[in-house]
Amino acid sequence: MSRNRYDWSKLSSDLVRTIFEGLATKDYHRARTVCSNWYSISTTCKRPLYPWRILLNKNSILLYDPKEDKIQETEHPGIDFSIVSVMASCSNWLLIVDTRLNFYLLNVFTRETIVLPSMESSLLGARFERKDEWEHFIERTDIISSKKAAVLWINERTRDYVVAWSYKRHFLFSYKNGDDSWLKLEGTDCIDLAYKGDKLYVLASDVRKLCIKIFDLSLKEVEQGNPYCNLDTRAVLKHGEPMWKSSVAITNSGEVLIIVSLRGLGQKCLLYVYKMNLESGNWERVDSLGGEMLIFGHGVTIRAPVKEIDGGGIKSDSIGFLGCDLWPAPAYFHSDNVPVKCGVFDLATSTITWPEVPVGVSYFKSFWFVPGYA
Amino acid sequence: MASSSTNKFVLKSNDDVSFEVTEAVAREFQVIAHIIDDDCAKKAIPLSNVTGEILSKMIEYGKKHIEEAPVDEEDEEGKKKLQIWDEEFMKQFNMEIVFQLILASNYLNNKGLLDLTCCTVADHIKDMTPDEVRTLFNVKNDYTTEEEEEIRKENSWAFE
Repeated sequence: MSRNRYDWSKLSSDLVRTIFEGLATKDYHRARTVCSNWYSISTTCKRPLYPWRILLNKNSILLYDPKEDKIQETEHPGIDFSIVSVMASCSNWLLIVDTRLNFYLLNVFTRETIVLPSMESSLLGARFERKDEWEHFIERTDIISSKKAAVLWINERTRDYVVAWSYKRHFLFSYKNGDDSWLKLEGTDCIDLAYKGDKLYVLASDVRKLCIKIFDLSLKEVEQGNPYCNLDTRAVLKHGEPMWKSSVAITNSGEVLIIVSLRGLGQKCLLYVYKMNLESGNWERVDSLGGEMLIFGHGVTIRAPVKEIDGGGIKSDSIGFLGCDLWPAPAYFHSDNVPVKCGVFDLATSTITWPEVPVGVSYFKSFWFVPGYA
Repeated sequence: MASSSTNKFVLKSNDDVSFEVTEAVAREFQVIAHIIDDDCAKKAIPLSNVTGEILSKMIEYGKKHIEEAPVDEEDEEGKKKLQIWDEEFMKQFNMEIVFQLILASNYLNNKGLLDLTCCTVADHIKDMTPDEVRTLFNVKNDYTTEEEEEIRKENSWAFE
């Protein structure tokens, strides 16, 4: 018997769900462990989501929750973030590669790590196979500093995961838990990657065109039923709007988006989103994400509803990005000491907000992070 | 025909307490609005799931939200004023009353009050452990040890 005259367990699922929607992220995650009924209610709960930011220091990670305006610091004495490369994130996990070419996943809250198999044989072996193609030569020291595209997917409950990354636009590597070793594919022209529903979406490019190639987890191309053959960039970009970067993302309903960072009229930095009109087969520019939000380079969107954060720019139909994702201002090339900043682009108004972090917090690098909401 | 500001209805609680309210206040509760629309509101409207104590609080809430309703969507000041009043209003109740208000506002279908009361509960369980929440809500932990371990792992970061 309860001490109380009232019995909360009589609350219907709808009412528990409404209460859940008012909980802060942390309390929500505790509440869903209360009982199995609450857990199943939580999976249908549409709490407004929003991205956090990660601020990196040499040996620690600061997690900034913009709604609570709170920073939580986790020490990682064994990792020097100034020399490793954080390649991707998913849920509460980061994909990291260190200077010895060790790949591992790190849970930013609990410090749990998952070590991936060595890449030594599949990666460095590549140089011997293609002696003639010197541009595909892989230097160990290159891996950290060079531009890479990577994607991570993990299921927090089962710890199933998939990792894929591309190097010098030529190599594509993938690994999923349980496999013996990495898979490798060459000649993909990959500039960005996304993963959803057991499929790997590769944004590839030649001089004038962007296209989406779809692969299964054995890195076999799925050609049948891929309508996303190409996006002729001449047709979509007007004269005088040079392109800087492009990225692919899959929405929660499975739509494929191409996001292009470019310089518009009057030196204005812009992000355009293209979606294919499946009837006409044409890529069309859209100024809405159907209430969702996306982070440039993250590969998947944040489902609606998105929590609007006052003053932070975070809202539905916006794009989170890093300073280096935008067309570079002249100063970009000689300002090495400025930490990489996070910004938000409002698709409807094409305006940019640079959200602040609490005064006095030091860090050398920051990026967007979407904690595991499950 | 009388206008909604002069038209009066009587709401009757399950312990036989009657309240006379204007049509506008009565319509704050969608279930009652439907009864009025169906022209079934000639006499007192019996509300079998609500006590007089709770009903009087709900009417107080409904009245305030009619009288002080923001002029329009842009009326930020009006919205803010009402929000402050809401917060003060909720402070007077213990969790037992809040619980009954949730059930009653769900039953009479007043979304504003339902959201407000659910938010109050959410604030109340902030920083509680799952065990404290179980005690408060009288909910049994039905996980096996293995299941609980798995669920804890998935949500482990919330316990750091």
